[in-house]
Amino acid sequence: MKHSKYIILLTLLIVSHLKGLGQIQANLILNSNPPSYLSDWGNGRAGQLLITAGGAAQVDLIGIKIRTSIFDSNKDLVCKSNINSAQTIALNRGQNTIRMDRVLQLENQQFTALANNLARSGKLSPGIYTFSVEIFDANTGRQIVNTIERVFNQINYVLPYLLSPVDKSWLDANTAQSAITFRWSSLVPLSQEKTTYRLQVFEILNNQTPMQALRSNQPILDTYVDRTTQYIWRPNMNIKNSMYNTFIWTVQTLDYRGEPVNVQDQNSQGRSEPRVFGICGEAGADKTKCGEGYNWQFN
Amino acid sequence: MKKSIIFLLFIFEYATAQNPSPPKLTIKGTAGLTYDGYGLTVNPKTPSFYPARRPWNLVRFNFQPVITYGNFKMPMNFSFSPMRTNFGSAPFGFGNLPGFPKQTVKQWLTNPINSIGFNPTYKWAEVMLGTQYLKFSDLSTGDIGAFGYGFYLKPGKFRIGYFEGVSQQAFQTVTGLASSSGIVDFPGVYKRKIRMAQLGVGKEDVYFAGFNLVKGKDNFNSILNPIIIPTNRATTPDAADNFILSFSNNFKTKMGWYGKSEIATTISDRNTQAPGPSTLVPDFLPFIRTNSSSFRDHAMFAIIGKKTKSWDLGASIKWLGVGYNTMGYPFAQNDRLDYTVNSKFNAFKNTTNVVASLGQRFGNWSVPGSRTKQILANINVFSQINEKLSLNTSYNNFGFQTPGLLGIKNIGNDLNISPNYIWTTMKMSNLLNLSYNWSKYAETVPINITTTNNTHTAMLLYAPTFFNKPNLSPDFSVMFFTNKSSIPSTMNLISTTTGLGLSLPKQKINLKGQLIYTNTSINTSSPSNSILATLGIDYKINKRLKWNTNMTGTFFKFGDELTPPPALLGAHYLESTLRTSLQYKFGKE
Repeated sequence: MKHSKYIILLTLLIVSHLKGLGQIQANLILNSNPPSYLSDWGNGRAGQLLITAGGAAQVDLIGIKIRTSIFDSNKDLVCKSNINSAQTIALNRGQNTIRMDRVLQLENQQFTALANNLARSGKLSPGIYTFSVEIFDANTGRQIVNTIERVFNQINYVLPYLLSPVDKSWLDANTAQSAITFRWSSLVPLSQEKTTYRLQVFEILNNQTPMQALRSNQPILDTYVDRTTQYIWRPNMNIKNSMYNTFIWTVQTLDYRGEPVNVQDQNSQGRSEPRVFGICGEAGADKTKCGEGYNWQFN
Repeated sequence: MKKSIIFLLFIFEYATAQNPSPPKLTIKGTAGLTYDGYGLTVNPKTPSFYPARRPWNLVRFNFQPVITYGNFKMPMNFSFSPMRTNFGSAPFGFGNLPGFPKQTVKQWLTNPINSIGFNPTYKWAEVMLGTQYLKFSDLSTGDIGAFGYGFYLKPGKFRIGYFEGVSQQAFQTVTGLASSSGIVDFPGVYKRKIRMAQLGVGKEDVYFAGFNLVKGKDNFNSILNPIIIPTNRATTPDAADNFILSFSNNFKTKMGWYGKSEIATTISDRNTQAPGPSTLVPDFLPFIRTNSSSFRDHAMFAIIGKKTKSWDLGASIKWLGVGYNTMGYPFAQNDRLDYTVNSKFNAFKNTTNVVASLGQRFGNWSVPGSRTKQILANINVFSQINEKLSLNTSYNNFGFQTPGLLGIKNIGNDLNISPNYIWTTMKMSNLLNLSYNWSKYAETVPINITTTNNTHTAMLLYAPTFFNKPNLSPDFSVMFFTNKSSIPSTMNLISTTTGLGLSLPKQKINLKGQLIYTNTSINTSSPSNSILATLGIDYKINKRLKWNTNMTGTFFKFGDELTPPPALLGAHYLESTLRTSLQYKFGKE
């Protein structure tokens, strides 16, 4: 009995704390395959943090600070944000949506040696990670919501390499005018969702460099190929005696939404490093001489 | 008096002999006009089964004069077109959609289809104005043209260059465009400015060593209303910033040795608007200020070889780090290591020529457990066995694979054998060429699902030459192509070609014509048939003026491969292309 007053006091404290917790509810929606570049997490594709503030008590609303951490699959810390320099986010009554870049606070992270790949490429090393979010009252520093953890898969796609026709090769005109076979490697790792390859072939017109042709011409072949990595093109055009007999080709890799797979230079729109080939018009000639001395003006 | 006249004449003669004749102003170059016309008639019109693959009209002008006056030289380049046909750069094929704004003057000037450049040069100094395609090195800049200004100086052994210009003009966002795939948004493209500098020492075609600096930056304010939240999927890409510092060198010796190498480092801001500073990558002022989206990586490459009259042997290695990124080569794929050995030689008293290369490429290099491997091997051998018979043989192999039991494999093998036989009678010479190509391609995806494609191509060509009609050059060929896939799917193609070349030297006209009939069957569908006719006329109007014209017409009738829908049973199209080009050479030859 002599401790009963302490028990009552503790119970009141717990009830009060739970009541406080009840006024703030948070839900972290994180895409299990967020954009591979951490700096792209603000574009809506990574997810968002939903915080419902208010409730029956109608207390004055508070500002919050968020601390985030990323752990690798061994539960080793990759980075942790500094709560002292975190921005204060003022909550409105009702539902608040916080963009993932404001949750992550990349500029406020303290990195460990495990973030070496991030420093080199803007992306974490591929693997499974845990994203942890803690929300604090900005005034009191008290954690007001239980720590939220979400697992995400860091996938760093490697675009297809163009395999055939081999770069700077010369194809026999008599066979090429009926069929040319294009082959490229798969997107790596293989996507669980549908992957579409958009094969584009451009004629290189006179006075044009190959890259100029790719950047300025309408493709003579523009076709979509699902999953498979081979396409047999029946040109049905004058290739043998044409004024232009060199071509540049590339493959644009599109995800299940039809959007280009994200790469470093976003102006390239998920296009693989292009390759060039020519048509060797001399029938029966020494094929080793095809294109001899030709300056491709191409890296 | 007589003596004084002789003396004066002597003085005059001496004076004129000492004064070199004043430099002459010369202008020479080329000017031309090229027109590409395209026509397509499809039946039925709906549903769509064959889209137009060329612009309906494409006119291009070229005017490339070079003005020379003593040591002063001014090459100019005007190649331009009023049309906009860009697919691999902004506006990425959106330009033809109804409601898309017309090209502005600035966009026209920086459109890669247009080049308007001046390069006045005096002795070792060159000023660069307008469109320039500058290749400073293999890892810094070289692919992308820019419209701007700069200079290149070569005083003695020194090499000093600078250029800055716009490599991509801004395009504003356009929403709610109606396309064949529904309503789409054009997310806009930022104006991209590129600056480059080179400082080094060198001697023309002998050696060079120097530093290259390249800085590319998107102007965030150049798009007024970026799409942040996607309504129709597309969002405006972030404005980027990129800096490259590299050291490159190359050499060529009289003994035939050649080589070049380069090491480079790059710092990139993926998003110039990201909050900063970066806790990972320090600033590199005054060139780039980093932020939370920044990263830094390196790259290197080296080539060494020797070339003689009868052989050439070289080796190369190239490594691009996982974050290596340059706006000078925007399509370069990074995180890879390639090495290649190339060789070329003649043997058996120059009757056999061999060109071969062997190499390997590793992708995903930064993740040792997930590295992709690709073998690149090819050899091409030509042998003149005797006066009548020659043989061309080539073999290509590439094998791409990712590690582990769940790995992906793309393995291709191509073998080509092509004997060539020439025999002569009293009246004519005959050429018979047989070409056989076998190609096997196997693609394996997890878990052990393999698709194989076996392709055989056989082609027989006969080309007679009549001694009494040397201006006539006919040829006849027949080709059989078959591709069998394990999907299962089969494509068979039979093609016969008749060609005729006619040279009319008096009229200065060369005519080339071709007629191709092709029968294609896919799986069990009824076959498609096509006839393609071409006519080429090369007319040398005079020493300076040439007129080339090519006309092609294709009639293609599908079998039932497009059905369903039933409306496409027997669908056909008629496609025509006209290309004509008038080129004029002016000035002294």
